Amino acid sequence: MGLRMGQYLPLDSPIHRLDPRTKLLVTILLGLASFKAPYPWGLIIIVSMILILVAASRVPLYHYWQDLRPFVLIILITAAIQLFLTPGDYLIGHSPLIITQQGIAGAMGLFMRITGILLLARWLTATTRPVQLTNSLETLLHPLRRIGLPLHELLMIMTLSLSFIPLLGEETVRIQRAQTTRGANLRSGNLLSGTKRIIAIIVPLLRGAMQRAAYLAEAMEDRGYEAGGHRTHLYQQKLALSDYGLFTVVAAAVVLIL
Amino acid sequence: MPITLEQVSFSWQAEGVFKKQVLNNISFSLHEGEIAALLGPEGAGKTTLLQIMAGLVKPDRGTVKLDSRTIKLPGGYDGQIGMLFQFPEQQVFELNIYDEIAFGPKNQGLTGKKLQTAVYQAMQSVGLKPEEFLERYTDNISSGEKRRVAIAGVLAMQPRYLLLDEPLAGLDYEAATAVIECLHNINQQRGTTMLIVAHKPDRLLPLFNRYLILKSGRLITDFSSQSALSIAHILQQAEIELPVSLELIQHLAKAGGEWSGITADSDEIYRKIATRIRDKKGEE
Repeated sequence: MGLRMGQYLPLDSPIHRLDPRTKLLVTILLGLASFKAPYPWGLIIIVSMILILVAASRVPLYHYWQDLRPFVLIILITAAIQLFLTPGDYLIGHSPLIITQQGIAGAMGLFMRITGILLLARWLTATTRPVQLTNSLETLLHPLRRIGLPLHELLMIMTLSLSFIPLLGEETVRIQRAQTTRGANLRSGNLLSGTKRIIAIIVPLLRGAMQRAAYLAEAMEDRGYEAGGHRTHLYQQKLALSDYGLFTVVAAAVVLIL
Repeated sequence: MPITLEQVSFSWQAEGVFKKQVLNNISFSLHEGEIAALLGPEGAGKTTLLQIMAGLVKPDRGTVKLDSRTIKLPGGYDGQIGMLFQFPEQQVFELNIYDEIAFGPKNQGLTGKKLQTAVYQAMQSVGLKPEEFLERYTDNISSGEKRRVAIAGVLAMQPRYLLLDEPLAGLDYEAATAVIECLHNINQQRGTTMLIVAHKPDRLLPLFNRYLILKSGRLITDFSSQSALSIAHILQQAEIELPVSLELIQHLAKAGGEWSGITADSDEIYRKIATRIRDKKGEE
């Protein structure tokens, strides 16, 4: 229990004070650069920039580690595949596990790219409220309205869907706990009993999710929400000197490296 | 045999800036047949403590032992500990009332007539008529009825220990009376041990023979008494809002007269006050 994965952390830092549009654009730029930057120096510069942003966010490293942890195994397996299966100049090992110079470069590069992108994603969500992110997306994608795209509605659906994911997680834990206290064995058993257990959780979970969605729709309509209606924003977006400065530095670095 | 907590500590978010210590070094034993109150202000850690005792949450430090055995989580109690959650919405998950109440007994291996009897008895004990409620959907009943369904679901398993989080919340007078009577009866007949969390314990006071008071995650008081004045004194020291009956008896005691032999049963308190008033009028 405690904080949910990707949850906003209300701290006071220069990064928290930045305009969310700047953070979104910086994330997109550095994310793309993490994929495309040449190994080693280009990638090292990009990852260093990400690490500087992470440090400036004043979010304790524990919270980054907490969200990175579920991906550690996948990162290690992918890096190991790169390490052992990349053909090139022989360095050490016996067939079929041979480490080559290219293998080390590939594994290191992959490790840095995936870790960098995950850190960046956490940096953005830890320092920006979801509603600010949605508003930023709406502003940045505003031109698409001209071709008739119901942008606001689509983003509202996206925000609500994203906020439902952790709620479904909490709901699952709630049902499991309710069943555990009444003697349900959630661990052992064969395939058939395992399937039954999953169904016993999924059915009330879906029923609860549909009910929650209906309540949410009612609550939104009761408070005057109307699809297509004009809405104002609680968080006003305003670009400051620091926004222009950060964006210029990041954009320049990315252009130079790529 | 008792259920024992040894130096139990727990915090939300083990590390980082949002770490919050919820329970700090809690140790006590709950003895067979006891009905103990777990009281304390909001955020004191009462619900978390119940969840730890029910084997739903793992403490950071310390152990919970049942019959001197440390329990493996989650739910390693084999139905010996029944827990009523703070909100019935957290507990009720089946589509209809019969399935909801039968869930526990089915896990205990009951079938056929025995299962039906367990469900019917549990429903009747909380004042739900089986012929009226058995087939109804859990979404189409009031929150008070849902609370009773949740209690029946726990009672149907006949656990040795009951951990009840606000059992009377949302119940009207009659339903609350039925639940209090039911708790009293199963304690008397089966010797079921109970730990009850209550914000306003007024009507539950006659049930309690022990009071555990939590404050900021620490167990600050653990005392046993039936005396209304002693209980009022301790609750006041712990800054817990006094039930009206206890507040009244405390004022009367301060004003003079002998009130020390009265137990913390509001009915008894009001009866004694009425008798004194009658006697006084008679003297005049």
